[in-house]
Amino acid sequence: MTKILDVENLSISFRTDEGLITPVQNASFSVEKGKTLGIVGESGSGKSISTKAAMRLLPNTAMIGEGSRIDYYAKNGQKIDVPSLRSGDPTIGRLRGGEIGMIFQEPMASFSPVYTVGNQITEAIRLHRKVGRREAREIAVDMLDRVGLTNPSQRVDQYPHELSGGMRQRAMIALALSAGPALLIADEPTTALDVTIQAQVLKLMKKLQEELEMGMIFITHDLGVVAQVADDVVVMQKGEVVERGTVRDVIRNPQEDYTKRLLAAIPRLDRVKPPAALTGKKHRPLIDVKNLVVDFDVKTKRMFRTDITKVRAVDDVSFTIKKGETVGLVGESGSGKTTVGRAILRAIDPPDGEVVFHRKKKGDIDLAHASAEELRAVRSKLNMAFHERPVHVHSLGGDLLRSFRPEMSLVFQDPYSSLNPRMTVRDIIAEPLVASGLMSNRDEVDARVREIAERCKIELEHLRRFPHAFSGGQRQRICIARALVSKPKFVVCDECVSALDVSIQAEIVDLLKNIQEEMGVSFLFIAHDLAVVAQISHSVAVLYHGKFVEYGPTEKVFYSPRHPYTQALLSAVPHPDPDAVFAPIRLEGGFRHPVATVSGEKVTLTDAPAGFDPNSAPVKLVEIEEGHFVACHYVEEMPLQNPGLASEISAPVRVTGTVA
Amino acid sequence: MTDATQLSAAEAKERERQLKYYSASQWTLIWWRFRRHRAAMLAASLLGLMALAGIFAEFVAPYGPVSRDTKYIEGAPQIPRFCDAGGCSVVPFINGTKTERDPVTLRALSVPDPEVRHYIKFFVKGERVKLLGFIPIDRHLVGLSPDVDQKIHFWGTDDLGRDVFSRTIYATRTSLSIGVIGVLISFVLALIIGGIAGYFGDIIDNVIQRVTEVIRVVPIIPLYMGLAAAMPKEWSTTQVYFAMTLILGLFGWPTLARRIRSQLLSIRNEDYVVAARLAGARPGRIIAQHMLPSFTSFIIVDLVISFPYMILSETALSFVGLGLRPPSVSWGVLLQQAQSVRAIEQTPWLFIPAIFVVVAVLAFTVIGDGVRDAADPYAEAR
Repeated sequence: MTKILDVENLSISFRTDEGLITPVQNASFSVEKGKTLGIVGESGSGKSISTKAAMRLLPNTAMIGEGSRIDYYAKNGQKIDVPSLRSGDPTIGRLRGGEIGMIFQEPMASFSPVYTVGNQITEAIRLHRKVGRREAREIAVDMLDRVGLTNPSQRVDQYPHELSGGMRQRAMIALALSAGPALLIADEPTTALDVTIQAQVLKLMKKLQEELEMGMIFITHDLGVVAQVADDVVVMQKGEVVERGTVRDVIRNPQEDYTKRLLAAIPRLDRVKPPAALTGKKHRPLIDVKNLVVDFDVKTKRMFRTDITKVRAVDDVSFTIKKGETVGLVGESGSGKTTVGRAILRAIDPPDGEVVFHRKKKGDIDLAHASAEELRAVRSKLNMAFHERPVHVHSLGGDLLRSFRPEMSLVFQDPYSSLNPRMTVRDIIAEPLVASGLMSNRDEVDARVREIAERCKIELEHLRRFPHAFSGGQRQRICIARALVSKPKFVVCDECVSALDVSIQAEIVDLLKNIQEEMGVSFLFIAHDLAVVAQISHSVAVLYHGKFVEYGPTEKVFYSPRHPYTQALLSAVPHPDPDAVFAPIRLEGGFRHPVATVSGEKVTLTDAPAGFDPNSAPVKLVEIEEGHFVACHYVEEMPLQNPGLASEISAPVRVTGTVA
Repeated sequence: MTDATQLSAAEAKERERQLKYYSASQWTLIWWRFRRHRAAMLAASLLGLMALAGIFAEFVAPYGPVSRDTKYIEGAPQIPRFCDAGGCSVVPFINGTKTERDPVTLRALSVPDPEVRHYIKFFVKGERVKLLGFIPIDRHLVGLSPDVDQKIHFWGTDDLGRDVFSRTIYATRTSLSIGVIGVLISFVLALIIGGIAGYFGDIIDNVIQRVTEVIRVVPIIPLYMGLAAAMPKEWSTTQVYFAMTLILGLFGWPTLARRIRSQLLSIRNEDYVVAARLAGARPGRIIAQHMLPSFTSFIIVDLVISFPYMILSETALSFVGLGLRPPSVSWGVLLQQAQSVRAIEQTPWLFIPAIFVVVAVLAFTVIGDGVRDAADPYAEAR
């Protein structure tokens, strides 16, 4: 086969304040025509930088080391020695776009918001090919059609913000391919996309590559994705290539320790054994969420008035979190996962519905409607009141809410933005104790901080440092320590591992599990990575457009999913196994809820028959087996023989949601 | 053996360095970067010298701001020298003076008398003054021996025989302090007004923004002039001084308030602010502990850059005769006296305070630049 790009002994260094750093050392790899090279590595392994060098996209402070060779074989057979090109050489312009196309991670950021998609694609075409405006537009429409955008002749005149993330990434692919490059570099092209969209984009890229006989470099941290698209794999670690080979060899039979560890760290949905559901009376509920509804106001400014439209982010969600339980919340972006978590914590004000926090003793006080006298009593013995009665979190406000804060906490997704860069680690961890007035004695606070830091495996001498000294994983430990320092009963983990490398992800998940065992805390674990959710969650809820479509014990929901959406979601997860069948279900034009028929205590689910009018029956969550709920078009049961049994029979069908 | 110990010593040193870097607070980091900015360091030392001279004006200046030397009216600067026709000396000296008549204009002129040498002395006894207004001293940094019947005027004297050097030192104190106090007043106002607008947003923000705009559109110089003219003539110089700073301070806040407001708005939804809210912190604590520290560096830059405006405003107002009035001295007052053709023609040394104004303003700007670079977390990437 003919090589397109041949990189040998590539070293790249940067001069920084900290001295000379060398993110890439002696890296060698090559791409052949019609083949896909996967470059795999964790963050900071130098995988992006080494390909950017091939396009001369490195910043000016970068220096390419002695003896480094990057040879590119152009379409006309000419060999281009990339590092030797002077800046300003027209060959660089030809190289970028004309010879090598590039797709970036963030589809939101890679289009200019002020030009139409068509404008940007035709510009690229006209830069590299001698064609007229009209002709370029035709090529652009054709490209958009090839990448599977419906109605390409209309899409071409739309602005990037009018397209969804998946459509935008398709348009980006069209842009990268429009000038007919011989090599396509895709830098984490699907990382920012939802799994179902990712599956579609992967299929598309594979198909286009075969049609156009391009070479492709696919940079990713996700071995599952690599297994699906790549022919050859290069594994990079700290700037060096540690292993190379065909995808089957590397994944099936890894030689290097690092590759083995990397493979072992990946949670695989087909191998994970989820924790068993907590059943029985022993496990008392901690939090009852009932009919939670969150609306956001979307303001449109007109000249003299502001129009407010309401967008329903969370639509009538009900579930229970037991003591010591982890409930996973999965769904694609925009499904309302984060909003559910924040609404329970009352970070969003004020949601409709109820959030009841159960405490040791039974008894009931609705803090929203309590008489002034009762309220005074509660205020004076605030903590006592909280200890004795279930707390209606949804109706707390002001000081009451503030003093209840230590009972619940949140671990954020991004460990970089959630730590105040101006505070030491010790102060950050201590903040929930100090700010809420739970503790004021400095020694006491210090003792507690140290205890929690040890539990979260933070070195004690690090407590004096500032967050800028830490890596992502260490920062996330700090975030967890902060969330746990007030010994809360309930913690929301909002995508708390998705920004981390797989090996660190595994550590954090283990840490959370240990903490749960030791401290008996309940987690609401929000994530889009199904395999991670399966590792840690006792039960799981699948959210779609603010509504539950399926909810139940993890082994039921993930391993015998009943709702078509859940099935599609699960089928879209790529397994790190080149021989695994990757057949993502594509739900054309959305999905139909199954139809539930109840006879006796048995619930039968049937696919909605063709011609079934979705409006004829409301959608409800129906309990199809113990604790396993599926959103169904609920069809009323056939007439009962014994009307006396009616109440008993309808009891298992706990209908928790309706849609108009 | 030695190798191993050396290695571990080097390692320990490296570890030490890392520890120092990682537990360095924001200010330490900024200081480290600032130190490398040579121009800013130079400007800072110049300004530091100026401020010190101003603070200890009584000690640094050989004479009081209004003391007259009737024997040396409109005298030229006396540059200390080491050599003259009569040979050289280790100790710098100035020549004595004698009075001559200008052959053309017949004006009385003080000219150096090469026959007489007066040696410059340090820590000499002189006028009895109160340092910082309450410590009585009679020693001054430099001067001539009290036995000599002559005074030293490095930068000459004005038409009343007052020492320009001493007056400039005293004026430095006035002008810099007006700058500092004016900036502080506007800073406090900006912090409160901008903080309220930024944290609470919505209607409160809207109202405050409109008020700010109203204040911003008022033309500044006519306004200052009007207010300064409204000051009662019978006010003492101290009262005028405080009124001036107040006026400058009260109209200086809008820019800074806007900056603070927009910064607060932009970080209001940062994760770590949400985290503070979820930790149970009250709004006051959230603003003071979590939000303000993250952009104090920007505020400092703004403050440093707004000093020159204050100083220039004061100088401009005093220059046109609407600000401070004699007998108080400020750079503006001094320059006002120098604004005649006669001064340009015959006593150009009266313009020396202008150099101070230029140097101070430039120094503040350069320091502002340096602080901005040092405070910019992305500076290293560039």
